[in-house]
Amino acid sequence: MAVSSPSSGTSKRSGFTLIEVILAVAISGIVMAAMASFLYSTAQAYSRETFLNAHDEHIQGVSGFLRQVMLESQASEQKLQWSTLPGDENREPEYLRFQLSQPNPLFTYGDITPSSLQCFLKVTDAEDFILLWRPSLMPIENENDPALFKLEITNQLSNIAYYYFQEEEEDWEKEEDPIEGDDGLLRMPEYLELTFKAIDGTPGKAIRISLPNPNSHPLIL
Amino acid sequence: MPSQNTHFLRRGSVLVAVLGMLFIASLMITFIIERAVRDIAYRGLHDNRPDLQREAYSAMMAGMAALEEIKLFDGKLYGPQQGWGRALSEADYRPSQGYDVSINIVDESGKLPLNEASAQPLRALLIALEISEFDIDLMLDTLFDWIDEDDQERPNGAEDATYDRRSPVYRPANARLATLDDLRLIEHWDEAFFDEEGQPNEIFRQFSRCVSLYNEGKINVHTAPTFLLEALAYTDGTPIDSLLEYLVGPDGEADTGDETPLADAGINPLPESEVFRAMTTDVATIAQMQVTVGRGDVRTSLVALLDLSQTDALPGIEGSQIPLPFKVLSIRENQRF
Repeated sequence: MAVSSPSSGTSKRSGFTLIEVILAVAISGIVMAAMASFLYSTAQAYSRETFLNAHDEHIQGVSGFLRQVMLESQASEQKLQWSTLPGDENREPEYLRFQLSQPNPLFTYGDITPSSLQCFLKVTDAEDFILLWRPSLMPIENENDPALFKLEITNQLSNIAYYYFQEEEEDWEKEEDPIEGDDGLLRMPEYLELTFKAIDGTPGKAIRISLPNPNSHPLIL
Repeated sequence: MPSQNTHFLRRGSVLVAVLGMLFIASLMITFIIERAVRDIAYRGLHDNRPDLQREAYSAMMAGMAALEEIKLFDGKLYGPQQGWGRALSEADYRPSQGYDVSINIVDESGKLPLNEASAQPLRALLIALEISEFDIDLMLDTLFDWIDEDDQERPNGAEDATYDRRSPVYRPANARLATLDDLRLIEHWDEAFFDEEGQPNEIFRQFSRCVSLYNEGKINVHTAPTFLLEALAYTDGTPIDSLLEYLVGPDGEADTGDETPLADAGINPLPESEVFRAMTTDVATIAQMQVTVGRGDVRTSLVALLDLSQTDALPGIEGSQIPLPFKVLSIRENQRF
């Protein structure tokens, strides 16, 4: 019977066998690969979610802004109406014209935040959904071509539709273009439907903006 | 012994490595949770908005109903001492679970109608604010030039030529003031009411407590600031001590609930002055109803401008009408008038 000395026994237990090292490296590799894969997929999911959230926030921002603007326009003396731009009277009306009578930090003229604004909201072209505005107190150099400031509300629209309530049929009708009333002038729709572009595999979202009719009650918007 | 030390060192380094990994993992989890909580809170701001709006409009309706009940009970509305501040509890209004709702009613008719004011009461108020007579002459003319529709410049006024020197160049509105902030655009008012950095000074703050852009009629003595009443009395030097004494009630202190309407006074405490009487009334006619609704950290507010002297109606189904006790002149969400 061979008896090993205490010193030789200690030296035998002090190292890892090749099998142990290979196993440790293999397990570490699997764990590292799993962790890297988890981190990568988490980062991708997070980035996609952040992107979609930003898109949702943009839609909510557009909706909130338009709702606020329409609510404010109702309080003004000049009511919402179809209009052309000043000097473009011979063209078809493409704009909703209204007045705002409360200061809004989005609209500044020099260092002034004017309390009264003339606004023209272009609602006939999804690719060009803009608000043109000018402070009422800004001097007009040329009546036929007054200077207007431009505010791009969104460049993410794919479609604009108009909702009208047909009193005879007592039903809602969705139109792709504004329709004319009996007087030959464009009718003010009750709602605008703005459809946003489809993003990253998700279907395009739509929002509906209620438009105040000239005689509607302040509580109804 | 050296080999045993090596063995313990190796075990120690493994422990350190494991602890290090745990530390990094916990940092990552904390970071992700923090971002997620921020995202959820932000999304909650939008997702809760329609519910909050609905609650705010419900509270406003309840507040109007309570105010109407007070009016029916007392015969008229004259001031918050009638219990305006308790409008929601008087109406037994219970907000939906988890919502905090508060309501505040401010009588606009207790203030001087700035857009309609003649020179006399406005001058009196500016004198009370310790503005010099010389400056007041300039300020009144420039204000009236700003509001009137014509381009005729008053002796001390300002029309296009004056504002041509401003940067950016602008024109007088030739319309009513939309906000008190418009005063910073008017020649001489900007210097009197705002400092060099454009910040409103104490004189402006005192002035804004005494004037309204929505009141178009007389001033309700029950809610008018004492400062304004004293200024109005100054127009013809009429003493108003007995009126002020009556308004605070028998205990001599304001807002203690013992105040009674002017109509109940045995002897009319209004000063004899015809000017004062022509400018004042004892009923509230225009009020702001401010409703604030909150759920968690999310808040929304609604302000309605009410004409208390008129009724209103909402269009209902099939041509019917839903009566409202007061005329709703205007509504603002998350903005002040």
